Order: sequence, then C-alpha cells, then structure tokens
Amino acid sequence: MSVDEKKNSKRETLEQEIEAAVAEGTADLEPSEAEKIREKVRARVLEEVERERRIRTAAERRAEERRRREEKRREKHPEEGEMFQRFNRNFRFQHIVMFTSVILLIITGMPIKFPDFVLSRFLVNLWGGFHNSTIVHRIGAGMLIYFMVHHLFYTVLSRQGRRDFVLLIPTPKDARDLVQNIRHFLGKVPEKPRFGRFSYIEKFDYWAVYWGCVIMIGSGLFLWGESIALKYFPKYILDVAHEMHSDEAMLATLAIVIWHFYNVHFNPDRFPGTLMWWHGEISEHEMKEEHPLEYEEMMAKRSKQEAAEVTNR
Amino acid sequence: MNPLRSFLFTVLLAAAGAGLAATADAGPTVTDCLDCHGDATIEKSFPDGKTLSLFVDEKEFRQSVHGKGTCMSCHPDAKAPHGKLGAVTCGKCHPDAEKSYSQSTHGLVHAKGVQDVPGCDDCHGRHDIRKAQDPKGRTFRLNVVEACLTCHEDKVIEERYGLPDQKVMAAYRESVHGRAQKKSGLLGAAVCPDCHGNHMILPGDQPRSATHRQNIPTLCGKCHSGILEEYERSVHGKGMRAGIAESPVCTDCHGEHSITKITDPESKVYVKNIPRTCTACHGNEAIATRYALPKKRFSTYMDSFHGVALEYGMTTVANCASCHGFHGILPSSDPASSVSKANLPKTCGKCHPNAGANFAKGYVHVEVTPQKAMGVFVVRVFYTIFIGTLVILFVLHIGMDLLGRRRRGEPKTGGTKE
Repeated sequence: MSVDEKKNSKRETLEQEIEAAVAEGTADLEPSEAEKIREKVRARVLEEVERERRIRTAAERRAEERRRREEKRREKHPEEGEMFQRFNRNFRFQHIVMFTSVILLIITGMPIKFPDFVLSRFLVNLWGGFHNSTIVHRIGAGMLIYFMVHHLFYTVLSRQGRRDFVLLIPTPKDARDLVQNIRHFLGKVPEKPRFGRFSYIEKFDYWAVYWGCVIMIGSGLFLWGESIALKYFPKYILDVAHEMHSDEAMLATLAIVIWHFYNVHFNPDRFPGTLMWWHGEISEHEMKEEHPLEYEEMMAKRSKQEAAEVTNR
Repeated sequence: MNPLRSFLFTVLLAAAGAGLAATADAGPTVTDCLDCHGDATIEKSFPDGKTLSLFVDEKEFRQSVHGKGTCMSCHPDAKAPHGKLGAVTCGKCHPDAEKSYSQSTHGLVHAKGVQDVPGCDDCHGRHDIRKAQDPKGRTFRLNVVEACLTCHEDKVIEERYGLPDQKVMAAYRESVHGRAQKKSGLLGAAVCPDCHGNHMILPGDQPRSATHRQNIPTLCGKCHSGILEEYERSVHGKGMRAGIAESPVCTDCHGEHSITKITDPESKVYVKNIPRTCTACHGNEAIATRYALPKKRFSTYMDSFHGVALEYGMTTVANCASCHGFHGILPSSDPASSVSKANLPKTCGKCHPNAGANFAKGYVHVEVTPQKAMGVFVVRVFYTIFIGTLVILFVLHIGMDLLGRRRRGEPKTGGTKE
C-alpha cells in the first residue's frame, strides 16, 4: 500500500466516524437545523486539521522524510537491511566544518610552501591575490579553531561524544587487528579482523586530526600574532613554529590525501565515496561487514530491551 | 634696436666689411653668394644620377649663430665662379672643440676616413647652426637626443660598427629621463651629452670616459648630489672609491639607458625585482668568497614568508632594501647599520610594532643548520623522518590491501552493492 493510499483510507474512516457522530446527534432536529450544525462541525474539523498540520514540528517532518527515504531505499536494495545511525547531526556538522576549513587551509597554505608548484599561482589568484589568500587562510584557521573548541565541548558534554571518545582510545586489540588485517591481505588468514565501532584505521584518522590540530593551531597562532608572540619569545622560537607549521601541514595533507582518501574514497568498497558524512547512516549489511562487534552489541542490547519490555508487560 | 643704433651698426659693419674686403682681396658678400645659392632649385648632378642641392636658405642662415658673418669665413676658397669647395674647418675658430673631438671615439674613427661617423655638421648643422641654448638649435637639450639617435638607432650603422643594440639606445626614450625631457619638457632631465659628454665622447670601457664605472657615481651625482653623498658613505661607495671593480655603482642597480622610476614594475629596483638585483652580486659565489660576504642570502630570503609573499606580488612585505637600506647600505658589523644587532628591533619595528629585543635573538636569514638554527633543524629532521616513514607505511598498507583484493578476486567497485 502506498503512502497516499494509506492516507486516503485513514481520512475516509475518519470522515465516516464524524459523519456518523453528527448524524446521531442531529437525528431529532429539523433538516435545516441539522444542516447548519453539520456545516459548523465541518468548519471546526477543517480548522483542527490545519492546526495539526502547523504544529507538526520540524523534527517530525524530518522523521517522516527519513521514513520515506528508508522505504524507497529498502525497495531498491533489500539486501542492505535496516539503517542505523552511525554519526549524529552534531558530529556530522563538526566534520563538515573541519573539512571545509582544512580544504581552505590547504589550498591557501600549500602555495606558500611550494611557490614553484604549477597550481600555486592559480590558487593564489583564485582569491584575487596573495593578500586575500592570507585572509582566507585566517578564515579557515578561525573555522578550525572553532571546530576544535566545539569538539572539546562535545567530547565532555555530550553522552554520545563521551562514549565515542572512550571507544576511540587505542587498545591492544587494535594492534592485533592490524596484524590480522595484514595477514588477511597477504592471504595468511581467511577472516578479516572483527572491528568494533571504530577500527584502527578510523582511530588513526581521529588521532591524526587531534595531533594535527594541536600542532597547527598552536604554531599557527604564533605566526598569526607574530607581533605579540615576539614580545614574549625570541625570534628563533618563531622560526621553529614556522617550520613546524610548514612540516605538519605537509604531514596532515599527505595523511588526508593518502590515508583518509583511500579509506573513504578510493577503497574499492567505497569508490567514489559514500554520503555517510551527510546523512550519517549505515546499512545493516555494512555494519556486519565493517563493524561486526558493534552490530552484535547493538543487537544484544536490543534483544535485552525487548525482553525487558516483555517482562514489564 | 633703435634706428640710430641699427644705423651705426650697419655703418660699422660696412666699414669693417670694406676693410676686410680691402685686405682680403675683396671677396663676395653673402648677398653675392645667395644670388646663385638662394635659388631653391640649384643642384649639382653626379654621373651616377644622384643630385646634391646647393641651396642655402637665407633666412635660416641669417638667424643662425654665424648669421652675422660672411660665407668666406667658412668657405675661404669660395670665389665666383667656383668648383668643389674645400672642407670646412671649424677648428679654426673653435680649437678647443676640435681638440676634444679629435680625441673622442668619433674623432678617432673620423680620422681614419670613415664617413658614417659624425663630424661637426652632423650634430650642429651647417648653415643653420644655432647655439646649444637656443630652443631651435639641434644641440638644444630637448633636441639633442634625436640628433644622437639618428645614427645610434640606425640598425645598419649599429651592425657595421658593432655598436650597442639599437634597442639599448632607444630604451632611453621610455626611461625616466627620456620621458621627463620628451613628455614633460623638463630641462633638468639628463640627455645624452650630460652623461657621455659632447665633443669628448668615449666608450664606457675606457678609464677616461665619463661613463666609465669609476666615474659613474660622480656623473650621476652631478644631478643627484644628495644621493651621491649617501652612497659615498655606504659600503658600496667606499668599495668603489677603493677601486674595487665589483662594488656596485648606480647603473648596476638602476640600469643605464633604460632607467625607470622605482615604481615601474620594469625597473630593476622595483620592490619585486630588488632581491634578484642584489643577488646578481650577492648570489655570486666568486664575489661572496672574495669579499667574505655572508652566503645564501637569497635562498634564505626566498624561503621566508617575506620572500614567498613578494614573489606572489605582495609588495608590502620586506625586501632587501626594507631592512638593509639602499644607497646608504652598511654591513651589519657597523653599529650605524640598520641591520646591526642593536638597530634590528627598530628596523623590524617599522612593520612589526611590538618588535623588541627578541627580534635580534636568532637570525633573520635562517640557515637551517645545527650551528645556526638548531631548533628548526631538529624539527625539520624529525618531520622528514616522520613523514617519510608514515607515507611508506600508508602505501604498504594500501598496496597490500589492493593486492589482497585482487588475489581474492573481489570486484573492483560496488563491493557492498552487488
């Protein structure tokens, strides 16, 4: 049954119910009087419908939208199974702010490190000259600093944030996973390592960003406020900050381009990339493939909840 | 002139003329000569069909500096009727000019019988010679350049005598001097003879030449005397006076014929071009070694933010001259130098207002060596190793993953959507 059909049948039942109630209430009245009351009721119902339509919150509308999408998807790819939320809205927002700022920082920063590179002049002229390019770099820097602060608060204040942070801490299992993964690549063992919510690959990505942000923002602030910095530090400290900023930028860029891009874009499972960063959802199939431990944990939790509900009833 | 004076003058002149005529066998007067030579169509034909006009414009002659004289003053053998006249010898009345000319490069070549080289008449004219101060004169300040360029812009002559490229000479027109005299009509603007001399022109490679390296600062200082004073005190000026040939003179940085304003992007001392101009000597291994100059000045500058920003056209950043000065450059060892340790905070403070003593702690031209910048060196080595190792590990991990997939025969794309 399609959504429209469902809606129609629902409306029809409701209309019949009202009709019946009105007919019952006006049975012993004159036809003209009955018609008046009927008219009143109709107007009142319309008013109520309109009000209902208005008070449906944005969240409800989104949920409806998601349900509809989900249904469509399930019709198209039944093998994918149920969809789970992997990244919440707050987390997705952080990621978008971060990658926007990092892209801005790279395209305005790399031309300073490599003035002879073919694209450098183009990238600088993109903003209408070097001066503007430095302003864009500082805008990117501002965004990255905001992201860092936001993420720190998120880690401390949000339940999901705290949970994820704990799960992102490297454990001995990660080392074992790495060894097994390599053995799997080499054909020594048939099974892939079974990852939890975050594989060692994702943990590396996360901590690389952490480390990168600390170094880049720290050294970048020295260069941004060079005049203030020189009040308290000798020039050779600024030279060190400059070198760190430049080298760490290179490291971060390579880590993103090689490691992150391979794992989320060029990996044959993902090519040319998924929209997970946008909708934050992961299919049951992918869950089982990539995060089997988390999936099992989720299922265990769900069955426990269901069992609890049954006992409560 | 009032009529009386005019009358007396004429009488005197007539008397003098009569006296002269009486002693010098009464030669013809100007009017006599112009009986024939006043005819605009008078000309001589040569066997090869060429013709030579023998016309003398009376008005031009009368207005010329020699207009009060007679034809006989220059052409003593001109007695009617006459054939080809002997050469005019200006030196008879102008012995100093003749002497200077005979020692000049023009005069020396002329003495060898080369006809292309200018004699007196080529620059000064013939019957229409005017004073150099006369705005209509060929050698007047605002006209003389064209007189010189008639030959020095001629490609044939330039090739025949191995003269500097015609473009070099013609570049003068677009130079700050050329534009000042041509466009603005400024009498103070340097024209050819101001630098090269007039009668006594010599090539710049001869020590006696006004344009020889050792004479250049003095030469430019004729007009730019304040700057000459500053230059004389600088390390470059002292070096030049001490006879050090590599020590730069005005033209090394500013150019010569093509000198333009420093605001012109074509200028060698335009902000963007300064580092390369200085590097012409300071990046020269031989010069830097011979005079014990600090090395790697250019590369360390270009590695700095200043250098990169300047390359991208940000002209507000520091170039060599912003810190070191220009005409009055002094070595950092000199306490008066803008880049001496004590003066660095003040010099850097021009742009970085909070710059204090901290600016002098460390090097401005950072050479990344353990001796000069240990901190930077350590960071660079660490990151080189770190980045190198990580990239190798990334590539290994990815490579093994891909090879594994291939071995297992997994489809290339759409792994989860099969």
